[in-house]
Amino acid sequence: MSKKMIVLKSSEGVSFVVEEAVARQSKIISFLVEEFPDRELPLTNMTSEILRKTIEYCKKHVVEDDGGGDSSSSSSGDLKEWDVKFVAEIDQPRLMDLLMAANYLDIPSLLDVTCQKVADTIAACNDEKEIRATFNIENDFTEEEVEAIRMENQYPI
Amino acid sequence: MDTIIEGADTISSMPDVILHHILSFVPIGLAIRTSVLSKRWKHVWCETPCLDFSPYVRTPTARDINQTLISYRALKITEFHLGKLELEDWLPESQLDSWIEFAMSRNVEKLSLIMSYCFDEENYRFPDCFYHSSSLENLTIDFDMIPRCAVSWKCLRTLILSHSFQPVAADVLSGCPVLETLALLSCGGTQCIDLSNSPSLTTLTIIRRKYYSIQGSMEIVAPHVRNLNLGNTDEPCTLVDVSSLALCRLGISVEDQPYVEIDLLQLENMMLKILAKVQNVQKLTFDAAFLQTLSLAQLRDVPFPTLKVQTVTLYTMFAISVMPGMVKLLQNSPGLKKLVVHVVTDLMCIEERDMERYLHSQGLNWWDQCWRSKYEGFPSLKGFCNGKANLILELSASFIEIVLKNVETLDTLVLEFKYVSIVLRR
Repeated sequence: MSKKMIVLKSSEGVSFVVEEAVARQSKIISFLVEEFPDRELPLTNMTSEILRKTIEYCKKHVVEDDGGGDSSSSSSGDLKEWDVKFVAEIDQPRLMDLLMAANYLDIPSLLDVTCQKVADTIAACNDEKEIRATFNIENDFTEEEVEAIRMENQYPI
Repeated sequence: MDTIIEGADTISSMPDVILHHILSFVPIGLAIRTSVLSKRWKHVWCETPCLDFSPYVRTPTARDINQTLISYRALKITEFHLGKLELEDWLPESQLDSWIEFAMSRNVEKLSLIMSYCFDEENYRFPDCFYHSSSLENLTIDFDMIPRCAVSWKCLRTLILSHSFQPVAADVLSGCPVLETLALLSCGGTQCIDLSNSPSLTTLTIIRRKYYSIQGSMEIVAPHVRNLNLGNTDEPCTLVDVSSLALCRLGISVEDQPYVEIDLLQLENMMLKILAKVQNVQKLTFDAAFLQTLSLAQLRDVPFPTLKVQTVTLYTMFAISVMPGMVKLLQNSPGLKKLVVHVVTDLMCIEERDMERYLHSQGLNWWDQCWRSKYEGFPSLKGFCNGKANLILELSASFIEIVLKNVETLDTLVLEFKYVSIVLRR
């Protein structure tokens, strides 16, 4: 039996032909496929680069339905390792876009790994100055305001 | 998110729900710190659904926790973790009650309380509200539960108890109709684990620990369990019913305490009985200490059960004290199709001199003659673990040769070195 394919179109108009099972990990696409079968699905707010990355992730995570249902138990650890490598190779602006794509397409596991990576980046910073610098966050507090917030919290921040 | 703008503050423009999701992966202390980043961030942390009080900058005090809970505004908590606390004295029970009530009132889904050292755990009783939840899915605690009321955890799927000495009460289990996973970690004492009335419970982990203050023995009645991970001590353990098992991992918790004497005879007999009970299981995993026990049985010429296993996974060194047991195991697995060996160098094992002493006490003096001649070239555990990469590779090659000679049915042989490379790099 040949696998059913669907077409996803990026904001630049580039078409990606993807196995339906792969794309269905996105709850949104899963919904759209049922509502509009045999139609090209335009993802106007996703660049080709991010869409390609998202598809790469989904391909790796698609559950092969070989009828046995008893796929190797060791693979979940390998998959985690793959995830770590996958997000480690992406620079921060693209990671943010991928995170938003995961959110938009509703792919919970991809949202988890990208959020985890952002959280790890925050945790790796020594202080709030470094967090601001890493994420280009502008400090719009006065020093007094910061001090007031510090006083409010007993926890050392 | 149309185009990537380098240098833009993308993160601050993300919706709150995503920021909460991000902050749910860090300890709450760090989440609170983000409140000084900018005005956008000032209140973000107080609605993050995960409250993880792991130490951040310093270990939290009870006061830190109470202060945090006053500012916290989320109505729904997905995760609540309390662990290490900075204490001046034992916590009053009312304090713990109030934290539990806080978590339960906000429909916590995942709750972990690792704090038996914080208060008088033996006399502590959870407030009744703890035992009634239709949101709790995952619970981890390190002290015994003795409910004074009926238990109703309609959604609880995973229950992890560590340092428990009491068997899980039947009325706790009967209150968890969808429980899938039960783990007892560092558990001791005399326990009969009877899971015959928990048909949904299919994954069971029991890692035992030997305590000096209390005698241990265990009986396991688990007719519905499909996946069992059992780490034994030399104290008695009987598998009464494990008739649904499809996957089983067998190990031995060897303590890093040189003054403890292991009763190897008891261990050996018990392991063979356990092996006989898992004869029909298709996927088996063993650790090196278990293989060492099998080596002893092999050298003493004790009869071995024949296994119907198809996939064997080993976590082991290629050391002389492991080889005889490992080879015997493979020889007694006539249907073996797949063998996966994780080569390790940092697993706790039985000291070889203890094995030697034991064999001696059994009137056997074979360590040198029989053993060394047959597996000539295989080093002691120490020799293997301190070995250079090329020694490990050479031994791996010898191992493969032995496997191919002894198992004819094998389709797949995998050697994994990921646990070794870490050590080698040091």
